[in-house]
Amino acid sequence: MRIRKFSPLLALILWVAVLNSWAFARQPAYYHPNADRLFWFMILSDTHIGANTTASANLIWAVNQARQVIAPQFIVNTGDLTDSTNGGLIPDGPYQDEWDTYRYILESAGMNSGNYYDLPGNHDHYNDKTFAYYRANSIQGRATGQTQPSWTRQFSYGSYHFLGACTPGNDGASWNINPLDNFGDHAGLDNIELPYIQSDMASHTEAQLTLVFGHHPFEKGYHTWTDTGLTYGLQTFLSLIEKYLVLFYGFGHTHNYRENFYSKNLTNGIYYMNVASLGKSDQNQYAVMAVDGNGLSLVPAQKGVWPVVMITAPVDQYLGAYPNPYTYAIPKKPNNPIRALVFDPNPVSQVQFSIDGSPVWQDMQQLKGMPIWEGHWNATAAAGGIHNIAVRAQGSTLVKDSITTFINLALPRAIVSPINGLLLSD
Amino acid sequence: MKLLISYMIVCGWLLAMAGPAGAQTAEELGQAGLDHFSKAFYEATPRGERAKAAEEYSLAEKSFQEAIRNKPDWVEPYLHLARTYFVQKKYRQAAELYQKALTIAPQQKDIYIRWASALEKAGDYQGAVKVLQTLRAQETDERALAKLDELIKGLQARAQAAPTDKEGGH
Repeated sequence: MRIRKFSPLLALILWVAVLNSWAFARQPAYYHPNADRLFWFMILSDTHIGANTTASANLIWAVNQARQVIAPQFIVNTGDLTDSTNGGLIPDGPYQDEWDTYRYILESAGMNSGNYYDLPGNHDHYNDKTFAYYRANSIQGRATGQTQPSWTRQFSYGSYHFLGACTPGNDGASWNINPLDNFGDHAGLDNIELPYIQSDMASHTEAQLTLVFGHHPFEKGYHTWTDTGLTYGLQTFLSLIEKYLVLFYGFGHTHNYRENFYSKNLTNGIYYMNVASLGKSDQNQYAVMAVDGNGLSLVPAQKGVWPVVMITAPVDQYLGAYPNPYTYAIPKKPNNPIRALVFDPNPVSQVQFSIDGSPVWQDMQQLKGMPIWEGHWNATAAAGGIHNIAVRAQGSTLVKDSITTFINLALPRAIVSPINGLLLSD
Repeated sequence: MKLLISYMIVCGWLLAMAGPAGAQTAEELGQAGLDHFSKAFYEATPRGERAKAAEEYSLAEKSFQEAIRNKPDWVEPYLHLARTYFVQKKYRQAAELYQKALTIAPQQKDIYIRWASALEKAGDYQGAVKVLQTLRAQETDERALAKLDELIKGLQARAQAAPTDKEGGH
């Protein structure tokens, strides 16, 4: 009787829940025939302005020369914007001098709240409980007065949602040498930050994909024993990632580049991408990420080393050493597209691809006025299963990128794209 | 006239009971100092309001100094005054206060770090190394020892590279 009385309400709740789940983000990746569903952006982290002159020089380079060459949709900086040492050894700031330098570099380069998304890191939080310096000096802090930027990119083929989570602590503790106290880095997401994240995710369920950035890895000890991680809020954060079908979490902090996949306490798991430090790492100082047909590709890059080459279609079957669950198989067709981004301030004379280590390199063509190169692989003679695709580009130097793909013999020769029913026909 | 005298006597008694005019406890002074520090460091400085910051730092210093006079065995105002000096780049004064604070609260290991940091910023790298070595002798955690060794090594490298006093005798 009681159940019958409330059944309309229960039905409504269930209906809303089901409806919501249909609308949530994370549309599947698909093998798109051409480059009109491709965009890219730059990921920086751990700029550590104030640590030394190299840190400033690297940021100046990234937001000027590299940005002009790569022409990203935007740049995201996942925190430790400043070092908080003012050139010393101990992060005992904040120092306004460091923030002045940071702000000057960015504003001189034309960075603004529509093209540069900077998040706070633990070095931006020591001795600053309310993130007063971040709010007053960072690009996003000044624009919003908040600590968790959210932004979208709208295209004819759909919208893409990006969110920066404020993972540093909320107590403004000082740095210390006690490992049991996480060196004063009490990273976490509190009961103000988590509801904002939930609300923001809930208001972007129409997005094709939601990608989240933060400063910290989920758990401590990710790269070295000194690496701190979230000390509170992780379970709720993961439940939001699960509920809103977040595809990607990108972070810095460890000064190490690693592609990975995180699936603990998650049904589907997410891309778990660690970016090295622009200010302090010796290699892989920044990364370029592309979205092509909802497939994600990421390539680490080195300051001043060109060209930067990244295959965006097909999407790699692996994330570093780990299988990529968010990829697709490709058909056995005569014109399977192979698409790559090639960035170089100098002319790129030739881009070619090779299959399965073949000494035969086939030419790719550049899309006019774009850093996009395309070629077509006649896969009619290829066996089903795993294949390696390599792309090499001759620009300032000769650089190669390679991915693994999978031919599924059962796939039809014409593949229907899940968005607008476009045909990938012979 | 009698009424006036009586009134003055009563007022005098009330004042005597209340203590010196405007007198505050060390805790109240400490809180007032923190309020001034907060206005200077977290509000005025990030907004580029230097004159306002200097004014508030001065008031913070006075409050903390008064708190120390009222309750000289309470470590908090020493630490707050040291921090107030530190953020104004008065590193020698900050270092002296951290040293004093350690005599009151020798168990607070983080004071060693702050003291060493003030000495480092003052250009006294050898002094900073000595402070950290003192802390090292008390430390038992291997991971903390590794961090300390890293800091000491960095300071020693700086001592070799730039042995001059950054603060010029302040």
